Amino acid sequence: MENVYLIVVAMAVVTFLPRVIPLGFFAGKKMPEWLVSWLKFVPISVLSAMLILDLAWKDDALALTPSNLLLPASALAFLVAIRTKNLFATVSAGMAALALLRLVA
Amino acid sequence: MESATPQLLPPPRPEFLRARRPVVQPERRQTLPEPAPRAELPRLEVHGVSTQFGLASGITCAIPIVLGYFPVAFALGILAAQFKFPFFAIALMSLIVFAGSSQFAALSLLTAAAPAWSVVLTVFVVNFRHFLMSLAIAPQLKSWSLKKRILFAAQMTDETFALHMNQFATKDPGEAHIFAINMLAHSAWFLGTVSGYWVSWLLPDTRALGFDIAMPCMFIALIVLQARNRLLILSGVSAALFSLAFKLAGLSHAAVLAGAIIGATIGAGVERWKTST
Repeated sequence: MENVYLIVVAMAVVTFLPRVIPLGFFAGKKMPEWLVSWLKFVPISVLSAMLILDLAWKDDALALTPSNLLLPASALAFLVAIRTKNLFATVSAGMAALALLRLVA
Repeated sequence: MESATPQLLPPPRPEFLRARRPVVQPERRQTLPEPAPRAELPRLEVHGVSTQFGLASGITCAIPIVLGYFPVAFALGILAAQFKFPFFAIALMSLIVFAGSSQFAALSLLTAAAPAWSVVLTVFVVNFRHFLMSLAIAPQLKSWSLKKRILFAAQMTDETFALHMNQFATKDPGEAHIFAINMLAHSAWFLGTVSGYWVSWLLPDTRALGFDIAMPCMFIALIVLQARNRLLILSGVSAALFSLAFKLAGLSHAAVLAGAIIGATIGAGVERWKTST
């Protein structure tokens, strides 16, 4: 694993480029209207796609089973998020719920 | 001071009211004494900007992100220690890569002795979504210098991006506010990783504490904050369903990206269709 540092640097480069290219080069440009309206839907789409795969996909298979404790815990987190609209409250509620469920199960 | 200042700006008037207004206004202006309303408004607005957004407000806004990042980074540090991954490599990774899910993916690939190119490619694919985010926030930062935009880009994550976009939807929060959030989030990520690594001998199994749901819960909170109307919800739900479908179809790391692109296209498409009919 002696070249692990090199790999980390390469990871940083391929992560940095997509982050910086639009901000560095397109920030001053006027974007077409369809692109602007499309971009409004990007954040929620990316977050939802990542969330569902974190929760319902495990070990290369769909994990929509009762034994997947992430599902009830995240359902509770959703309720807390809707009520409080608070990041910290949501994270703590989800973690507490999952820890409790694991203790019981 | 006044907690009411953020609500200062009235909602935009509907079109039919706006059209009628000029007919009434000129007559009133002539009869009413000028200075009173004029002097009042700008002063309050300046006051509102100076007290609402700045370094202090940035620190306050960063607290939930810091509290969310720290445990996730902590879990990453613990995992790295359990895998006997070199300490300086994981610390460097959190410093210069600073992209949560890709770091977890890279860590498990590296310890499984995957070839270097596949690790780097995976990280690239997992993080390519930042391209869309960077594109989405670029118009808001167009007045910034190139140097500041590059620094912003280097520290942009899903969570800070979503937070900034939410704030830009109401008002430009300013550089001090934005960088306070980004710097604190970055520090929390780095310090969380480092402390997780060193505390790993205290907590042999983080799963018992529910650390693995910290990241999904952050996504949940941000999704709820983003879900301001039905079209946004529709695009989120479609993105989720399509990314699952892509996974089932055998796509691995590109599933998120492909699902998100389709979800956003559905949202934008329905919006266009509704306005045209």
